[in-house]
Amino acid sequence: MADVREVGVSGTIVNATVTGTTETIVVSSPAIDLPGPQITACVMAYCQLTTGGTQTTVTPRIRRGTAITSPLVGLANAEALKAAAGSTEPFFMMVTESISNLDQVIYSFSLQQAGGAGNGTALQVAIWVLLI
Amino acid sequence: MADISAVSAASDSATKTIAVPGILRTAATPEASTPRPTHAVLRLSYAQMTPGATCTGMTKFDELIHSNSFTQTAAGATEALPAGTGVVTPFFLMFVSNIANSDTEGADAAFQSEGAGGSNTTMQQSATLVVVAQ
Repeated sequence: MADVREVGVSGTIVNATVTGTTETIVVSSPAIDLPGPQITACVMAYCQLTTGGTQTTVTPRIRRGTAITSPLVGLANAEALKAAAGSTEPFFMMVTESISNLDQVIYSFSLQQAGGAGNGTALQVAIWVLLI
Repeated sequence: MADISAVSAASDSATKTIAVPGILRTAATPEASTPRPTHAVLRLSYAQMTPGATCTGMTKFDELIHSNSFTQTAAGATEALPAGTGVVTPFFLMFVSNIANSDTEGADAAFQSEGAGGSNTTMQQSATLVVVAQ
């Protein structure tokens, strides 16, 4: 039977800027010790973003680490805005991966606008990590 | 208060394509052992999809998996496409039900692109989480 071996959660309602078309980490999990040699991580992240004035797409990414150069988990696909640029809309993503030979993991959720100009504002964010 | 007695999760980043109308399924979780007799099963599914040009909406079905057999447990209403056709769009489904006398639980979600005309709907990536509580 699979159990939840460790959990890491993080979130904030403090506004943060998503600069222009630069990939920006909007939330990171705490560092979580791996409870065994072979673990499945399930990561879900959410952000409410007010998009920049003329942007047309946002690419959500989950990365293992805290930098925009950290390993990508899942795919990085640009999503078309679901509302007019400058509106507030939700972005979320869920991935799993098998991990081994690590002492700790941290996962981060990033957003990257494209197609136009203007900073976005991340209004509230959350991430959860389940190690199974 | 319920305790979590089992969890299972899976994701898939291989592209899948189906002509409209048609069903694409999210990653199916392994079947987790579950306690008898009754337990609650939460399913959470996510997918990034590009609806085909002739797709008019997306109908979501939750599917439980017992012994590799798929059972649809909820026939959702058809949702309008929030960003239109031809663009990558996230879809999401969460469902909870009480299950009796089952030894294992797995799940996926089936997203049915509605419409006609045979354009292709594509699923880019997906993930599913099952949480069993008793």
